[in-house]
Amino acid sequence: MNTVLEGKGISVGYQQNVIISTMDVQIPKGKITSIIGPNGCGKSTLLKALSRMLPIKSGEIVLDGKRISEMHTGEIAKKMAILPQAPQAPAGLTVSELVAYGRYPHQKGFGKLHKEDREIIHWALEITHMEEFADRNIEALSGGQRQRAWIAMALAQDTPVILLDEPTTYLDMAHQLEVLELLEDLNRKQKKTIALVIHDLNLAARFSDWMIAMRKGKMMYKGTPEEIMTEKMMADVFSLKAYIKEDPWAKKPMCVSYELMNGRDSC
Amino acid sequence: MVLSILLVLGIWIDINAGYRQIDLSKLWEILKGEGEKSLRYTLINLRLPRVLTSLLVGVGLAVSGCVIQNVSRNDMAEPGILGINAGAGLFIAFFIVLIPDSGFSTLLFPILAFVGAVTTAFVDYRLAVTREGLSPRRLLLIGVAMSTVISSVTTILMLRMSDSEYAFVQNWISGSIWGATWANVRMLLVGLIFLVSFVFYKGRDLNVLNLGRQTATGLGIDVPRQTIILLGIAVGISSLCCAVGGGLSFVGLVCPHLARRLVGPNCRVLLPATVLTGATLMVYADIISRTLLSPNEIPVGIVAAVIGAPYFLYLLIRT
Repeated sequence: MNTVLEGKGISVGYQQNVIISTMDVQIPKGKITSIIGPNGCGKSTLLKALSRMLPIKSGEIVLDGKRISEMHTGEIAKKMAILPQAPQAPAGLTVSELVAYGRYPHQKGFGKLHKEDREIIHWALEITHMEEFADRNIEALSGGQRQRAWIAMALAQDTPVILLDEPTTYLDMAHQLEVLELLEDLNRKQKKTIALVIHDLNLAARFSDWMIAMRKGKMMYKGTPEEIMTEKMMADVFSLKAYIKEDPWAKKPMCVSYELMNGRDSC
Repeated sequence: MVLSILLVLGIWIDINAGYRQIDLSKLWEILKGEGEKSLRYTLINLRLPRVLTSLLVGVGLAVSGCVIQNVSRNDMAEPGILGINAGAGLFIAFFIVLIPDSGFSTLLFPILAFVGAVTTAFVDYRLAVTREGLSPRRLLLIGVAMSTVISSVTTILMLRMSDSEYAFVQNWISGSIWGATWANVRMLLVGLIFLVSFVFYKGRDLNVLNLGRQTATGLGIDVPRQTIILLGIAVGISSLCCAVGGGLSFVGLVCPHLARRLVGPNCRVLLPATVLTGATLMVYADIISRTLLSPNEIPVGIVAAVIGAPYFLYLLIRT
């Protein structure tokens, strides 16, 4: 397995609280990786650490064979785009302006957009089906459209790796699917490496090539959806007694029903 | 566009605001170096520096406000919130109390005010900065607290002053263009050209910072570093303005908002629009401040608030 982004013995936390201690994690190249786990298990923290949003207390993060501690932040931005959880655009900003901001790491000086920039912005709007909303204010969009606008911004950054923190949260079922199909498309056609934090296990199993299950700041399981989505994992990671079957359409494992286990300790 | 016309018209009215009227042909004569001597004196030595000072102060405060609002992502932020106006006022009040009967020097006082403003900002910064860097939110809160403390001390000092000194400091705190000499105009102009063009150059960084810390980091901007640089520039600009314009607080808050309503939040167009709204508001405020109760002057800061606030409210209600 080819690794593009790797955490080696990383410890992360806020102030004195250590959330993740000495963890090794690999994000495979050219795949869609889902990070799953219960609330407070440290999955968003892990993503923030990998994307340098949070400084790591110890260990090392390696992107494309280089330690990010030795890379300039602008250099990292050309290789890895990040979509934070529930990002907020300033009032009155249009979709095309937001997407143009994605060109930031490639610009110099006063930030004039060149032909190449405009082509990539156009492509990003096209592939996310946001062309018709290009001049619309972001606050006037629906949740799904808004998320696509932000993904378009990340795409305009033109990086081989994209990390997304809960890109489907707050969206209805159809819009969740829409976002994930877009990511799948980007992965298959543009060969982009995608890693995301996601709560919906069935969607995670359906769209991922690789899954990482965390609990209490530890990586409990990693593997393909078939390897991960087991009744044992559901018990160990989520403290749920679950009934797992194959999704008759997607041919991937899915959790059909579940109940709380007795003696469940809250995480 | 409309703003530019309004601004030019405002400058013209402002030049003519006063006892002696100057029409276009006379203005041309004077600019060519001809014309009546006393009129020439009025224009060159009194009116022009005054108009230019108002205009430049308006530009500076508006741009500074725009930077602070973008960097802190806080709509309530403005240069005065950091306590720099209060700090400048304190230094001036101190000076008057320590050295009574020294007169109100147009050379020394701007320097005092500038030093007071920058010192306060520096104290804010020292208190706000932590191991994790500078949080703009923390800085603003500390600024508010500092501002209150400093204002209280200033008030205590003012109670020991003579009536004329008290009136001077009170006027100064409310914001009034007073050091309008060519020497100050030149200083302000040079300072602003340098600092404001730097802000224009940083326009795209301001845009990205406005998306929030995480997104900005993801786009490859060194957020802590740029935050400090940009806030430093904003403090420099507003301290310069404060040196000749006193404690003008409202302009820096409202002008960026007005500009944002007109052209949106993208700094490529927002910054030029902010320059225009700042200049226009201050020039018109200056007209009113000098004419309404002529020959007495109303502090221009109060006028700016009186004409700016209702328009601001109107914009807020309409949208």
